This record gives sequence, structure tokens and C-alpha cells, in this order.
Amino acid sequence: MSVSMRRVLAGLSAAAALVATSACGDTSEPETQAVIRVPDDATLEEAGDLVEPGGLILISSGTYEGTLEVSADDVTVRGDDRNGVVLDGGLTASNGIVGTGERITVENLTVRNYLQNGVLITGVTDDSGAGIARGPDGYVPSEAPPPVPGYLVQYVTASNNGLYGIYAFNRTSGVIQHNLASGGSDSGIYVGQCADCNASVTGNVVVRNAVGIELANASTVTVTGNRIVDNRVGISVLSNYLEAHGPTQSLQVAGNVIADNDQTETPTQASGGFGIGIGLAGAVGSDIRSNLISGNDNVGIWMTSSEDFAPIDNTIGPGTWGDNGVDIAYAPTDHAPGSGNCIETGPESAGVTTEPSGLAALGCGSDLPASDYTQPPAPDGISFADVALPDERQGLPTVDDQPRQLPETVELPDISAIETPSADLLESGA
Amino acid sequence: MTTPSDEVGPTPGEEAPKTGGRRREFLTGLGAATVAGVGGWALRGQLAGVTEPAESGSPEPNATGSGKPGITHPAVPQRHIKVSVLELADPQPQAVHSAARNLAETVPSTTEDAGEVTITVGVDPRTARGLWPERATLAIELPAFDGDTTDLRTGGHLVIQVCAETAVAVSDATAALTALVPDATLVWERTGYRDAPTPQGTTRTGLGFLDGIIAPRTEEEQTAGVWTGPEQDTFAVFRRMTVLSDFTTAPVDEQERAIGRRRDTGAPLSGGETMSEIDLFAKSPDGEPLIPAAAHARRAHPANIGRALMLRRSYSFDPPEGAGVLFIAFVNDPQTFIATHRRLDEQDDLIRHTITDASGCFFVPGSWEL
Repeated sequence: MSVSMRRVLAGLSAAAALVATSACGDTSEPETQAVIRVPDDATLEEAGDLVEPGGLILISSGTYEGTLEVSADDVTVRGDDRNGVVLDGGLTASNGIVGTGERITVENLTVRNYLQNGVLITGVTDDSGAGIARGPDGYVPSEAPPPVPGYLVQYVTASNNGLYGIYAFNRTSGVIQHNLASGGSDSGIYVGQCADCNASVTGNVVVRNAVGIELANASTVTVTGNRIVDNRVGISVLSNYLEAHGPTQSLQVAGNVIADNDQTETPTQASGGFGIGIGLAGAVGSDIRSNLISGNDNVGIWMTSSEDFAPIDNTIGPGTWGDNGVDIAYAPTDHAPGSGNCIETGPESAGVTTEPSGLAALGCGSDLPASDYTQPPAPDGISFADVALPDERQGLPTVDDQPRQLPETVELPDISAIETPSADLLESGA
Repeated sequence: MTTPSDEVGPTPGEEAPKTGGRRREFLTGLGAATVAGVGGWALRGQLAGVTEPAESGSPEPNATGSGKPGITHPAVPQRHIKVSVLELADPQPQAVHSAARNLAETVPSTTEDAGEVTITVGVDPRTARGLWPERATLAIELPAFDGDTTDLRTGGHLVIQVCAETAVAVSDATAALTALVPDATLVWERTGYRDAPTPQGTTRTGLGFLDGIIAPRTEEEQTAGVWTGPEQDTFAVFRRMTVLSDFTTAPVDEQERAIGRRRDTGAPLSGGETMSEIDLFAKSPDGEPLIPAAAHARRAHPANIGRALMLRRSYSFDPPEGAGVLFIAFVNDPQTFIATHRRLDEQDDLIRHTITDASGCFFVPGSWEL
């Protein structure tokens, strides 16, 4: 109670300060600080302007409206309680947190009810310096700037957002871990437009989104140890022309539970996807192994083309399969036929079903015959705002006021050492 | 059953273009005004005051010399067209070149009410590659598409497109031109009409929807998508299509979802007005894309294939059932059309209701010099 009262008071003084600042124009920059406490030192929206490079924005428990935009480098945005610090867009604000600086950390808080993204980490800014991404911003892929390095998003709960829960765009060297993303109208977690993403998506729970995890023109990403259940599509991998840097190459997916992605109480997927564990469209050089892929009503893994991007040199290795409509469908188009793909599911999954049938027995070395697998019509969806709230998850083990220093590059996991998980992976806790 | 002409009569009070000249002058000025900005489209009343093109760079207000006839000139396409595809008795490239050039440079006599009469001539891809190996490198025959009829008319050595404000003018001019190649065989032909232009220079097709909202109007856009180079060569795609009656008799809201635009205003279902940009990412609160997944406006959007905008237009004709569409595209690489059509074959709630019974892609040289 006292927190929300302080917030109201801080909000009032902030409004006054903003009036004063705008009256003076740009002649005086506000003094920056190493540590900004919200709401004691500043409102959520002010904090982004006040934090100095290498600084920390520490947000106290409470519910906050609006958007935090951070452009300085090496900034850490931290909530003091993952479930108690709630940025709520109220279905009016566009984004919860927008980070454009290098090596930004966002952790230990909740973002929900934003019309677009919960957390947007982007390497593209508009003329005013505001962070933008693909979408209704007039973005043109051919003008893609060089990627911005460094990000860490962890222990964040992103729910009921109108586009993506956690979105990294035109960035490299990132880690997205221990988050929960739910009720995303598009996807829970999205990594897009990076020729060398050097990104690890690990230990997350993505549930009841249109798409759990989406990777578009995102090369060199590992997706490991995630719980990806009850979405319409578990993982969607795309190569396209709506973003720069297609096709998606060198994706690794291992040690995930990818199950029951046929939940109807979710937002509609834009191209009608439903009941799909992993959709690979126009991917090159993917390595998918040691996952539990089960209960996806239509298809476990669907490998196809995207426009003129053909599926090339993808490998589907051993794992655990069960109760999918069909485990693996291989269906590139005639004008972008696949090559070099192989299915080596191994003796442990002798019962794997494929379309066309018998693919698993062919292994590598010969081009696979194609099927014309297509999706049946998807059931109607619900508003992202109406998707059931997710359960609470544990936050950072300790909360202090030390900002994080992120490395220049991320060490990606060696997936050959990863084992197939059990069905209860991250079922609760995280 | 309603016929297209019942549906799309001129708006009450709007002047019918009886005198092509005056109407044309007005609209050409309008078209030129768009170079200065889309705001120029807004209101007819304002634009009536436009006496000179804002910044056309042309010394003549009516800009008879700007743009390529029948392609980018006039700015608002004429009301009538006739397309004729001919096979010549002598298929040698030099003979095709000589015949085509002669046709292109002929000025048939027409009456004053014919308005601006344009003659546009193209040659088949194989001949073009032989004649202009440097300029026509991308020339290619179209592959088969899903809606093509088994007896698709295709091939031919050259195409003649005649446009004018009156039906009789295109008919007379075409007859005068084909008389110059008496040994030629007609492969296919089609006449077509466009309804009265809207203030924006668009027109309603036989489907009752607006044609020509999204077009490469600026020099920059035309350089990117229409002209192969400084010679202003281009490729012309012609498709003689019928939109089947299961589409034309469907409820309007169903048609609108198939097109992705409103039928009355042409505004995209993602919001805005007639000329607003389509927002492919806009969604309803329950996550449904406002431009449906299979809507023609989404499927045909050039952003999907990473290519520049083609110049497309269509003329109407009236088959016994359904609606006839003579589709025309001017594009600097036929692959742009092919890649787009593959997307339409994969999924498109308009195109799956169409059949195409004649088709061709021709190289239209900006100059006939070899």
C-alpha cells in the first residue's frame, strides 16, 4: 500500500519535472546516476533517462504503468521481486521495457498487458532514438543497421502481450533464460534478424502463446532445456524477406520438452498454425536432437520451404517421440526443394512416424522424398488479454544493487552432451 | 444475379467522362500531383484547382512526353484496351524486330474523342534474348500456374496493346496495326474496359473492388520495380482470367476478407483510408490478423518476397458467368511475378476462385535500337 502511494506521489512530481524540462528544451540534460531506485528516485519512465552507462535501475515491488526505455550501455534493469514488480501496460501502452544500449540486462520482474512487446531488446532505432523492430513501424529490412551486442533477459515473467513477450531484434550475444512467457499473441520469445545471433535461449517456460519460441532470420541460436507446452506452435523457425539476414542457419535445439502444442485457449497464430511441435520453414543447417516431442496433435516436426528458401542440411537426431499426429513431416515445395537433410532418430525411436512414411530408415546421404503435408484448419483463438495468467515462478536467488557486466560473446552450450529431458522439466518452480 | 455494370455505376453527381480530353487533362494533372505527395490524392475539389503539375519536371502540363506509352503514361490508364498476341509467319528475330518496331512506331488515325491513344508492343522472351542479349537477360517464359486451364493459350512472337478512351478506337487502331502484318496468326486477344476513374485515379473492376491503389508512382519506385535500366525496358505480363461465380456471388464481407480490403472504399482491413498502407501485422484483440492469412492483399504483398513493387493494372470483360479480368503487370524481372504467383498458388482466397485461359510474358523495349 505504501508503495503504491509513493508511486502516485513520485508520478506527480515526475509530471511536474517533465513540464519543467520540456519548457527548457534540450539545453540541460538531467543529471545521471549510477543507481536509480524506482519509485524512490524516479518514476519508471524517468529512470531510463536518468541512469548512467553501467548503472542499475532497481525497481521496488508495486504495479507500474507505462514504458521504461533504456538507451545507455551496460545498464541493468532489476526488479526486487519477480512476481511483485509488475509493469502493466493496461492494454494501452505498446511496450514494457525497450532496451537499445549495448549489453543490457533485464531481470526479476513481470511485464504484462502490453499491446506489443513485454521486453523489446532491439538494435534498431528511429530518428528520435526510440527502439523499434519489425512490425507496424515502417521498418525496411534493406536498411538494417549493424547489430548491437549484448543482452541478458532472465527471471522475467512476460504474459498477455499483444506481440512478443520477450523480443530480441537485430542483436547479437544474448542470453534469454529462466523466463516464463505466456499469452503472447504472436510468440512468447522471439529472436529475429541476426546473421550471427550468438544467442542462447535456455531454461525458459513458454506456455499458452500462439507460438512458444520464434526464430526468424536468426542464425547461430541454441534452444536448450526449455519447457514449451500448450502453445499452438511450440517452436517456429522462419526464413523470410520481412526481416534482413535470411535464411536462418545453424540453429540447435536440444533437451527441450515440446509437448501438447495444440491448446485452443490461446491467440490465433497468424498463418493458421496449430498442433505443431517445431515448424522449420526454410531453415539451413539446423540440428535438432534429444528433445521430448509429444502430444502435438498435427505434427511433431514439420520441415518445409519458405518462399524461395529451401530446407538444406538440417538434421533431426535421436529423441523421444510420442502421440504426435505424425512425428515428422518433410514437405518442401517443388520450387524450393530441400537437400542434404537427414533424419537419424536412432534405434531408441524405432516407432517414429513420418510423412512420407519411412523417412527415418533412410538416414543421411540421400535426398529425402517429399510429402505434401499441409495444416488442417486451426480452431478459433482467444484474445491475448484473456489467456489465463501463468503461475508464479521463483525469481533471482539474491537481489543486490550491483549492476551486471555482460561478456562480449556468449558461450553456447555443447548440445551433444545434452540428454532428453523428462516430461516434468520445469513443470513448476523454474 | 447482379452484373458488374449494375454494381459500379458512376457516383451520382459525378461527371461522366464524356469528353475524354477534359477529363484526361484534369486527371493527368492529378496524377502528376501525386509525385509531390500522397496528400494530393485527398479531395477532388482541391485538386480541381491544380492547373499545372506540381513538380513533374516536364515542361508540358499534360506531359505527353513523360512516361512510357501504355505503361506509365497516361498517369490514369485509358478506359479501353485491346491486347492481341500474334505469331508471325517469319519467326527469325530480325523479322520479329522489324515487324514489332514498325507496329510500335505506327500512329493509327483515330477520332478526337478517342483521347490519348497508346500503342505498346512487346516481343517474346526468346526473340528478345536474341535481339538484346545484354538488355533482355532476364527474359523468360512463364511457368504453369495452378489456375491455368489445360488448353491455356500462350506463346506468340509479339504482343500489341492498344489503349484509348473509346472502345471503337482500340478496335480500329488494332485493326489498322494487324493489317500491317497480314501473314500473322492470332494466338489470343482480349478487349477490356475500365470503369470511370475515381478521384484517386483508381477504378472499379468487375468484382466491384478498386484497382490500382498500390502502384509504383514515383520515379524511384518505377526504377526499383518496373524498368530494367536506363533504357526503360520492361517485361509485360498478360493474364486473361475469369473470377468464378462462387466468388462473385459470395457475400460482400467474405469477398472483403478474401481481398483484404473494403469493397466500398478500398481501405485495407487493417484500418485507415483508401490509400493507407496495408499493415500486415495488425491484429484484432483476439489475435486474428486484420488482413486474413489468405487475403490477396497479404499473399501478393511484395514484402513477402523481398522484391520491389510491380506496376499492375487490370481491365474488365464480361464472360457468361463470373467476372473477367485482363491482368497486366509491368515488371523489371519476370521472377517477381513468378514468385508472387507461387505464393498465390500456395494460398490465396481470391486466386483460388480464378481460372486463366491465356497468358504471356513479353519484353517491351524502351528503345528499338539494337
